[in-house]
Amino acid sequence: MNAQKTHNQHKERAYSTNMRVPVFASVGLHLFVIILGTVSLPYVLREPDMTEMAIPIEMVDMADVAQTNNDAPPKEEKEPEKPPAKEQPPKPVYNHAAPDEVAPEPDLLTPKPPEVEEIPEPPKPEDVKKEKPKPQIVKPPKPRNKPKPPAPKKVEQKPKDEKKDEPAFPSLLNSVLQEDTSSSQTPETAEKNDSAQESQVAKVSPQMLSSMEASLNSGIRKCWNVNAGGKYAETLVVKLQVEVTRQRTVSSVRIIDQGRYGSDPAFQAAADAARRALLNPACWPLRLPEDKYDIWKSFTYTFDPSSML
Amino acid sequence: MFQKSFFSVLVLSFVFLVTHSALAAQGFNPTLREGTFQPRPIAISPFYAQDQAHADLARNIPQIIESDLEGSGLFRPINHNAFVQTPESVAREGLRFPEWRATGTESVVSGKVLTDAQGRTRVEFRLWDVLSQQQLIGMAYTTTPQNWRRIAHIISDEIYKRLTGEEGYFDTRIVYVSESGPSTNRVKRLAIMDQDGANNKYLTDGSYMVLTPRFSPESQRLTYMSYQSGKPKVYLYDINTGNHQLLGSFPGMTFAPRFSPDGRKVIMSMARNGNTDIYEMDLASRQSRRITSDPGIETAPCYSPDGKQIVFESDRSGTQQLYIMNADGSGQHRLTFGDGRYANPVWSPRGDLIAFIRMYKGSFYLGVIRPDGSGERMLATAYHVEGPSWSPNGRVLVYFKESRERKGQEKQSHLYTIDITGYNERLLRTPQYGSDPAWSPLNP
Repeated sequence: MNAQKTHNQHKERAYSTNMRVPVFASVGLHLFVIILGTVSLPYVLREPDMTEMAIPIEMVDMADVAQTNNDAPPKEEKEPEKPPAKEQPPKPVYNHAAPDEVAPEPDLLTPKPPEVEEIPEPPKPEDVKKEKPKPQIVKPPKPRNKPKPPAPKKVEQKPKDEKKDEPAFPSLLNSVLQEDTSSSQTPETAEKNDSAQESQVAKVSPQMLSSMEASLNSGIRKCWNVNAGGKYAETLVVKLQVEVTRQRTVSSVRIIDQGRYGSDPAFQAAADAARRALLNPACWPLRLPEDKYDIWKSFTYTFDPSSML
Repeated sequence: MFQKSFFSVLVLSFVFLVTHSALAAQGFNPTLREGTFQPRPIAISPFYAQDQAHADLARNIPQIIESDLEGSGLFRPINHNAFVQTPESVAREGLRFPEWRATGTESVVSGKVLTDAQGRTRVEFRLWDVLSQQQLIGMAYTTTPQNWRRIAHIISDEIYKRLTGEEGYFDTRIVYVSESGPSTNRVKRLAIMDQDGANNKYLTDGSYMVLTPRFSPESQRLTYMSYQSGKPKVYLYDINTGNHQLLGSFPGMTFAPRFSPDGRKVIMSMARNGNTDIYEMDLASRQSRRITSDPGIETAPCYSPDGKQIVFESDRSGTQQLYIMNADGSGQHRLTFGDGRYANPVWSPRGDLIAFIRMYKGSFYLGVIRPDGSGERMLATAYHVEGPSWSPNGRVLVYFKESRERKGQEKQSHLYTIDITGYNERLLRTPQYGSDPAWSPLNP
């Protein structure tokens, strides 16, 4: 009996000892599951927070931009709210079938009215008085601020020597620029210069010529702004006839191919860019040897962008 | 030995003398082969208002011009603090060139806003070359005051044309797909705006999805694809009348058709009998004609600006590459040979380049290539770049970039423009997300 009792007590003790670990484990596991459920279930069950997802749209910012941009025609601002076709189902579900023929939308969508009247406007009346012929494309530039232009045609033959003596930079520049176009008539003058130059040039070595070229180019290149990306820009080679003062400033630039200048807008723009490079005071004085004036006082300058583009 | 070297020296001396004497005979005629690429400085003066009623226009028009020109990347408007004359002074006494020259500007834009005899608004502008001291253009426009923004764009185009030698692109519009809502239920509407993002308008209400609008190069019409009942349908939309017209339902189509250069035909790809090929459809008769018959998948066709050739993508070589053929389907040849896949080719309106999308090593690139296969270069890259479309002058591309979808953040797609030199990439602001842009021709 005692033995039986002892055996039972022994068994109970053994049982309780064996069961303690699993019970604890079970309780622990249950607790873990309950805590996990309590903590995470609301997030699982909760619907996706669309407002949060919508934040990056930055509607406010964009709308502001649109509004400021749209300040022109007030009518059009109403447009976005307008439901377009009546036949369309009203709900914004894009799988809804639409009829094959959608009704025309209100004509608020028509583009801006093309009532624009273009009137080529020549320079102001004062300029018109000065400039007799008004060629539409190539106009002789008449500086407005030049009250004392020298005599129109006679100046063309004399001035070269006179101009050289003008020291003051702004006045020099003005007179120089004014003469720019008046000297564009220089076919014979240029020839004379050429022959005079030739005799001088014969005395100069080719090395000297090429070093003069390199020196001149090193100064002008930073003023020559090439139209990169322009259509066939690499083929737009421009030749200019350049007259230079003793102070190594440019007194006149003439675009040689006047025919193409008047008919080809791309060439016209390229030629203007080359001319601007030479007329830009930022690139003056030209980097030329002062003692070789007879050689560089008049020359043909070629602007060739083919190797750049 | 001695004789041989003596002879060599003699020959070399002779060559040297001949060359040098030839050079000397030519005189001093230098050639410049190196310049710079810099935005051109330009001063855009506020316009002179004849009366107080036009004060706003006189201020706003030059602002738009300045924004247009600066946005092109080719011009650098100078700071207004450097201006040496007021609008009144310019109107009264003309431009004082030496003073403007000192500001470093090369060009000056001046103008006036006044009321003409009929009571209409007249806007005048002049473009001056400061260095040569001459007027380059002078124009006047008469219109209603509400039209001021368009006038500004037209003036920008004139200035751009005179200074670059190419047509402008500012008086144009861009149609695109406006996107809103979460990625799982995105609402896609057809929208149109000015090229600078102003005047945004919606052409559809978002009740059905629209994709890939394409502008006609010759008119104010466009095509777009609409997925209704799961089937792709193509519509023709006339902006002037607001009329949407069904062009047809085309199996297997992934892009809307593109117009021919004259706007009379459209070209597209369709899947028939399990094979995707390129077809051309006459818009008047609605008759379609099959152009390719290769067993591969041919898609995304686009005409050359003269209408004589077609560029398209095909997987016939095993990978997706670009091909060119004559408009009748003859003379098919491969254009691209690079690694990765090439898609979505678009021929430039000026004919010298073809834009495309390249997928390579997990990234997307926007690139251009010459029609002879040379000069391939990449202009932009992103996680996803798509939908290139040319400005009407062939100088700028508009496209969209899409960001990777991140946790808690939806996909973001935005429109961008870039110059063909690869510089001046700019975000084009839209009220909502934007994709699939298509650039219009110049406004009529």
